[in-house]
Amino acid sequence: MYIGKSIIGVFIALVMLASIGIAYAMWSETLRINVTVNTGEVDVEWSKYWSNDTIEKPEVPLDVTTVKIVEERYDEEGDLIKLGVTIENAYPCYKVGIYGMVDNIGTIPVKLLSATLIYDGKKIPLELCKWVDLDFDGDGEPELNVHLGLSEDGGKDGIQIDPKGYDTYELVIHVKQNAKELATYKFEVEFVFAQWNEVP
Amino acid sequence: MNAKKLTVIPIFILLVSSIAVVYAMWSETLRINVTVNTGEVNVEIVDAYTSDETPPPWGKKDKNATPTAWPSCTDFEYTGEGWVAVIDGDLEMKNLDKDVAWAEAWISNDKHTAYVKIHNGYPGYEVTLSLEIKNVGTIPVFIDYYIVNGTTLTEEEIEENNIVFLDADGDCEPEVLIQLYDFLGEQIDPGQGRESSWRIVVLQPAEENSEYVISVRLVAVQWNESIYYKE
Repeated sequence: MYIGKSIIGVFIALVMLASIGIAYAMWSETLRINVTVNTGEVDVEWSKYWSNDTIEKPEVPLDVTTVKIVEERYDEEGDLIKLGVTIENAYPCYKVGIYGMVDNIGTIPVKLLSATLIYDGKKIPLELCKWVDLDFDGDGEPELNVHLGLSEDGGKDGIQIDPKGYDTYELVIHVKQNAKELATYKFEVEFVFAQWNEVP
Repeated sequence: MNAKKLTVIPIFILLVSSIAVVYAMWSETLRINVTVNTGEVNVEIVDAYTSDETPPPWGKKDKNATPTAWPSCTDFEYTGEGWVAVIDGDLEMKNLDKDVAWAEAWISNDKHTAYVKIHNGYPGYEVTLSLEIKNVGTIPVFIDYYIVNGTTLTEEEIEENNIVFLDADGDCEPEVLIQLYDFLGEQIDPGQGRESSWRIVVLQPAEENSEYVISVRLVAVQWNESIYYKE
C-alpha cells in the first residue's frame, strides 16, 4: 500500500521536474575570440663611440693626454652594452668629451629613464646639461666634474629613440684644479633606457 | 584565528603581485666605465756650473763687470728677503790678468735648488752661472716667472729691466747684482731642457768678509695654466 503510493509520488515529481525543464529550454550558439599577443622588445646598444681628444702639438708631434675607448662588455645577444674609457696623463683643466651613439635595436620606442654616476660606492643621479662634481678623497674639493648632454638628437624627439633610430650622448670629463699628480680616478655612468610610455 | 591569518597571507601576496604588474617596465642598461690617470708636472735642475770653478792659482783669470746704470733709493722695495731694485741696464765687461776669486755651483738632492758660492770675492768680480733645467714630468710646462729675493718678475718686466740689484742692509747701496737671462714664456715639453747663463757681480758697496745671498726661484707651470699659453 505504502510502496505503491511512494512510487506514484516519485513519478509525479519526475513529471513535474521534466515539465519545468521544458519551460526553461533555450536555443543558443557560442562565439569566441582567440587572442594572441606577441610582445616586442626593448633593446639598445652602443653602436659607435669616439672622443674629441686632439693631439696638442701635431707639428712635433706632441700628444700630451691620450684617450682610449674599448668595448668592455656584450650581452648574451652580442650587443655592446659597456664601454671602457681610459684617459692617460691628464692634468688640471684638461677637458674631453666622450661620445656614445645609442641605437634602438629593439621594436619598442625607448626613452632615457635615468643616468647614474657611480663612484666610491656612491650613486648620484646625473641630469642632462648639469655639471656634477666628483670628490674622491672627501675633502670637499672635487677632483673631477662631469657633464652629460644629448649631443645629437637622432629623431628630433628629445630623449626618445624609436626602433632603428639613435641618439648620441656626450659625457664631458673635466679635470679640476684639485686633482692630484700621478693619481687614478675611476667612475661609472649607468644609462637606463625604458619603454617610452613608462617614462615621464 | 589561525585560519583567518592563513587567509590574509595569500590575499596580501595577491595584492603585492598585482601592484608589481602595474609597475612592470621593460628596460635596458648601458654603461660607460671611466678611468682618469693624471700626469705630473716635474722640472729639475740637471746641471749647474760657473765660468770660474777652479780655485787659484790653476783657475781662469778673473773678469770684472760694471753696471751701466745704478738704482736710486726709490727703485728699491723691501721684499722680506732684503731690498731689491730692478732696472734697465747692461754690464761693461773687463778681463783681468789675475786669478783671485772663484765660484762653485751645486745642486740640492731634490734637484730643485742650485747653489752658488763665490770665494774670495771682491767689488767688480763677475762670474757667470750656467743652469740646465729639464722637464722630467709628463706635462709640458712654461717657466712663468722668476722670484728674485722675493720679487716676482715676468717676461714683460725682464724685457724692460733685467738687472736686479740686491741691497742687504737697506742703505740704498746694493752689494750684489744678477743679470737675468730670459727664457720665460718658452714651452718645455716632457723630456726637453733649457740652458741659461746668468751673470752675478759683486758691487762696490760690498763689505769685506761678508756673505750675501741671492735666491732665484724659477716657477714652472703646466702649459695650459701658463700666462704665456696661447690657444
